[in-house]
Amino acid sequence: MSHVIATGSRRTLPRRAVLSTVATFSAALLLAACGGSSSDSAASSDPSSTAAKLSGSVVWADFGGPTHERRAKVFLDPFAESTGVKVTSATIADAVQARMFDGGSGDYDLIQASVSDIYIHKSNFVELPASNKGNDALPADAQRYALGSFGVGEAQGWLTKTFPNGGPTSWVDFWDFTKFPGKRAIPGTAASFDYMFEAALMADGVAPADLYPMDLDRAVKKLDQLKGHVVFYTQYPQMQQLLASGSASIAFGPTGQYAALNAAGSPTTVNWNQGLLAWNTFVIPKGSTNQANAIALADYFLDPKKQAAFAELTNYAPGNADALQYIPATTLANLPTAPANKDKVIVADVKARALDYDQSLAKYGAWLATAQ
Amino acid sequence: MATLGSTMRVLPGTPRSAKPASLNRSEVRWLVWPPIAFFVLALGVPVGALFVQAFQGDNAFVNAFRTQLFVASLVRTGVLALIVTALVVVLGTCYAVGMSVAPSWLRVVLLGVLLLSLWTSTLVRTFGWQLLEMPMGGIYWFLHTVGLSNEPVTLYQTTIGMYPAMISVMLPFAVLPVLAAVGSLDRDQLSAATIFGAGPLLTMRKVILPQISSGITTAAVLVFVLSLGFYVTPVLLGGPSNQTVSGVINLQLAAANRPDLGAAMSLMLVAATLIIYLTADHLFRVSEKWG
Repeated sequence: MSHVIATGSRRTLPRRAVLSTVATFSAALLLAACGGSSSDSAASSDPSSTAAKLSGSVVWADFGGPTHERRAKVFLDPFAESTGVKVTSATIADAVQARMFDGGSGDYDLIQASVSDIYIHKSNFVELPASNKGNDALPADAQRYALGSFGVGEAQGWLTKTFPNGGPTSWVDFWDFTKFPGKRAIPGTAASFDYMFEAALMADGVAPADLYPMDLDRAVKKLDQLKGHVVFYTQYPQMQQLLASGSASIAFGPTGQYAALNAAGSPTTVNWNQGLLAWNTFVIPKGSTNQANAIALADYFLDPKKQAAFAELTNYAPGNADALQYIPATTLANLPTAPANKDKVIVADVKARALDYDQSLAKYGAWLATAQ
Repeated sequence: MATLGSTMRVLPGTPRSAKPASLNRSEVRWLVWPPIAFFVLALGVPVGALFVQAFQGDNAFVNAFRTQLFVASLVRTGVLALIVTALVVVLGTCYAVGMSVAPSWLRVVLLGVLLLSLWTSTLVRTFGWQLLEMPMGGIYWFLHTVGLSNEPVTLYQTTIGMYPAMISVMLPFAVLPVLAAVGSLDRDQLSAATIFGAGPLLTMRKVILPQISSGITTAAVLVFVLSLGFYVTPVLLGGPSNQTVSGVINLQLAAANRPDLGAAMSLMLVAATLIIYLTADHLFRVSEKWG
């Protein structure tokens, strides 16, 4: 063959070599394809997937963090496996959420929302079909639009070793920096004002029964007393980091973060007294492009055993009462709806909060800009 | 040393007109199009899109100035940029002059550390500073161990907290231009100054500084313009009460859902930066130093 190369015909590879390579490759490809399709057909004959002749994808938007990981483990990944629908998770961008709530277009098919959001934007959400019985923990006029509901406790939490003789038991204590020294970790973005106004009002002496409608200006004046004593978190998992590093002695936020911190090896204590119960849920906006898949996912979330598993992992209350029978007693005691906690926990008035939403957003944003 | 280029020398006796084939002016002109195309695509199109977005809202430019948050952030960003520039230029000049008189092994180490810092991601460096500045973070640990203080440190999410990290992020940008200027110093002048009896301070004032002043000006303008638009460090370390202009722009786009306001603010930031650069160029001839 050397004389072939010397005369400059290097461009043309020996034809036989090329043909044999191509043949080998195509044979390998065919074998792989055949092998692959045979395993696919085995999966499609699996009885658990017969209910869903679905395909494509669906985009799930929530706030990420440990709650999302647990939700993926209990609901989203098994759903993807059994139906073949690709579930993509996204962390909510406030602007996209606001746009889709107002009826605009966007990437999300399911978005985390509060019950007040349902009251404000009901006309822009897809109503669940009659076959979906809904989450009975929610008020009746919100049930038709909500799925995957879970009851979040919003309460004060700290590392047990910070206050071994007992920590704050009320909102007045949260504002007391001599008795309970250290910085407080509170939300640092305008859209996550959460329950800061309720906390401030209760610290100012308002009885829980008289909280709503909220006197926002009085609350902001009380919040001013926190200046210089706070650290802000912009994502909920940062609460864990701030507590664990000692940068904040008490945090105020979703109790799932304390459960996660506990599970990670740092014992935490939660003060349920004057805590709040916030029903979080998910909605399907009308701008969603995968409504069939989203509705199928909504049905999947009704499974009582799975709701119980999620409650065990997060200590959040399940959306359907029939899940309670599957939750072990130790976890039941930690839920915001537990008998021991029920009397201490305040249920937020979602309708009043819905009416105050724009004002609360503006006032908290304005307060944040001057808060240090 | 004979290189390929040296063989291009014209041999004696060859008429001048027989130069090797090179491109004449009209053929060279098409070489300008790639950079212009890049400029149009990478800068022109996004700025154009911003203009379109800004004019889609009503009176976005006026409304931006009516936002108290934006006006406060303008002042804060200006102050931040000025102070950071002043400190970084002083520190950078010292660093560069120090590097030039250091023994060669130390010079290599100093340059290596500087470049390593420059090439490390800004986010990683800022996060490192966050761990230092947290109330019970690295700085508190040091003070506590040495016995100076037992109180948690108030640096995180304060105005002052932004400065150390900004300075450390901007330092390489100041050192490198000054280093280039110092490298071209005439060593004989330094010897002459010593022979004539000048002490170190006088030498610095009368011999060194005037010669590296162009490098210092370049460094100052570069650091100032960068600091005006810097995003990551002030956002992570300043907290929600110390928003800079770039942080406020991000708020408009990501949280408030007002892309028209965000676009208007972005354009004003670009315009302000351009005006400052052109003024500095007119006064100090900065663009000539770029090469």
